Amino acid sequence: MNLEALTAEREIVVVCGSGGVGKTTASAAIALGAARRGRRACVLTIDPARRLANALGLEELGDEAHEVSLRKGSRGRLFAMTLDAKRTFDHLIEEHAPSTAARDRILANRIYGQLSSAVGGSQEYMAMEKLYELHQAGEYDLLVLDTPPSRNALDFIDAPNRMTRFIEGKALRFLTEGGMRAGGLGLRALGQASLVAWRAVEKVVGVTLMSDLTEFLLAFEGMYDGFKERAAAVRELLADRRTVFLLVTTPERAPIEEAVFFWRRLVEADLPFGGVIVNKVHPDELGDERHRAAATLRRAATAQLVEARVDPELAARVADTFLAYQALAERDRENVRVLARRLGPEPLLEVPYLDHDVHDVPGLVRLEPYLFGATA
Amino acid sequence: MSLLDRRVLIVSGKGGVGKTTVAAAVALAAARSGRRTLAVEVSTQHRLARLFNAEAPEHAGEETPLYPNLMGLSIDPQRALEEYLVLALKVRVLAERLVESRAFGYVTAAAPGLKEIVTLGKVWHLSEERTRDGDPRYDLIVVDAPATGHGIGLLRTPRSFLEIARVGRVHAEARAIADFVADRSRTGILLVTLPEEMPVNETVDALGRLRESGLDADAVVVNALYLKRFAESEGDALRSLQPGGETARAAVRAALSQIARRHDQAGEVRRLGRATSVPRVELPFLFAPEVDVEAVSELAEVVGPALEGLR
Repeated sequence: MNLEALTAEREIVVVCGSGGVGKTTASAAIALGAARRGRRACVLTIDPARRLANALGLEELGDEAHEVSLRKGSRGRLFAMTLDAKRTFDHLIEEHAPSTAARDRILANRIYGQLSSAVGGSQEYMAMEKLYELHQAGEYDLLVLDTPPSRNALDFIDAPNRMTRFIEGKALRFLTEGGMRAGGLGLRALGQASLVAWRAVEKVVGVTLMSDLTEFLLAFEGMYDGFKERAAAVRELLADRRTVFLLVTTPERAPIEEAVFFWRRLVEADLPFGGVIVNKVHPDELGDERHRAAATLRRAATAQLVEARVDPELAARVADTFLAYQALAERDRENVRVLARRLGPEPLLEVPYLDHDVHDVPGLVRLEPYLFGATA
Repeated sequence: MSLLDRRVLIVSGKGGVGKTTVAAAVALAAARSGRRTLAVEVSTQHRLARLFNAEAPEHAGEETPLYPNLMGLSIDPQRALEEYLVLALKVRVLAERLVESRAFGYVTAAAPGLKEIVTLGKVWHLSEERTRDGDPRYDLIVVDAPATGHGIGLLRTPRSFLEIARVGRVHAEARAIADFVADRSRTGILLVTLPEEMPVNETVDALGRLRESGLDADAVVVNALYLKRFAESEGDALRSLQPGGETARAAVRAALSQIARRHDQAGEVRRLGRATSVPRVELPFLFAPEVDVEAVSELAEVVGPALEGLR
């Protein structure tokens, strides 16, 4: 994978992967590398847990772009921001509501309050929405999006579609009509069977929830088309060659399974895929000696250490530690091989497991050669 | 009364910290101590069964034996919701029709937390189940909670759900479940973390959020700690060493790497200790290529006594 070329040519990099693989750090490092190569780059996250702020060594990171100072002589600039899903959603409502009354009804609705901040899928949708908005504004050369760790890859790819399906008038006729009839509005005759079903749901989840829901959906009437159009535009941008999707994984079995699954979904959805970053690979210290048996290795290491005047007991402990690491390095190498085989010709980049965690700009700079090759 | 004498232990945490492994180790430790134990995961992936080399059940949602005294169960929230509806509506045909209708999907998508409520509800009902002799069917249920934004979504749901479902059967249920989760004589909460900067920050954050919801963790499990294998002076000696042999040079690099990581980890553990007074359980890093039943067993040997010692 040539990140140097990718970040020079593309305008959007979407970084995906399961939790705990170092996705946020990788996103920040990619944006930093691009900035050091002259681009005006912005890294965005919707993670509420301050991971990005953490990765950049910042105390806090608001939903306004914050400039991260780079070393003197860097040609580009680096910005970072956390996306506030609720605020983005509110903004979208304000833009699309047919009247101020409709807008206020939605913003005050309890279901909306939960939907905009908590429901699975809406966070992802809002990330996409904000990405689109920022891209349209054209303030940055490159946007790097650190995506929320979605267990189900579909959540992410499908988010815009699912949201519009959800609020689509036709599909919700059952609810709104049921609500009107049950609420005594009696606008249209509802089939007896539907009414029975409506009453049944109401009995379980309660009248207030159902009337909130009805109100919410009614308030959305007239906004469907605007939402749908917008979702289609977002989708088009994601599928465009200006965008590239990257996957991050660690060389362990479970994250690799998820990465392969995710990759399949991206390919099926016809989204531009750039490659996989395998993070935290235990370096193989052995070079050509790797095929030696463990016992032989232990003997060789101990003997050479004792020869260098290391106390035999300490030498034995050093040799044990070495073998333990070597086992992990071998596992990693094998897992990376399996991953490469399954991905076929897709580009794959390995980043070694560094001795120290990365949580500031100098740390990100240390990662740069592994991601971009030569330093800027 | 130790932590293992609670009726339910909920193992929470962000993705990637080893939550499933820790939940499996806790369940195994409980089972080995003679407690009839059920390990629950909230997914359809049967990761627990795979960890114990057990067959996934023939029918989804069935309890499956993992180890003597230990059963496993995968709860699929969607399915749990359907089961709940059948129970609540009493008319199976009606419930089935409802579940099949597209509208049902929209209601459940729009009623945030409904699935989590029924999932917790199912755990709660399982903990109340009795055998014919009147003994609890399970002494302990260990729940591997799904990884969500803050890693504690499942725990906070009942309370936030009370806000939107103010009346009706689900409201009453949510109230009962919220009480159950908050009752420290019955329910225990374990937060799993790693001794690294970000996970520690997130754990401190999650503890604060739990308190906002009137909950508290009973222990923070710090997973994958490197053991101290070398004294400071030995580290210094190794750093200045330049052995002639290539194998020895590689071995020294590995040892220095271990020393560096161990040093950073110790700093993070100290920072966690300064930030919270919640008891800490420390689990060793396992140099095992894959987490298997042996690895889980090794962790169970450590986590079992530690939890027995906590009130």
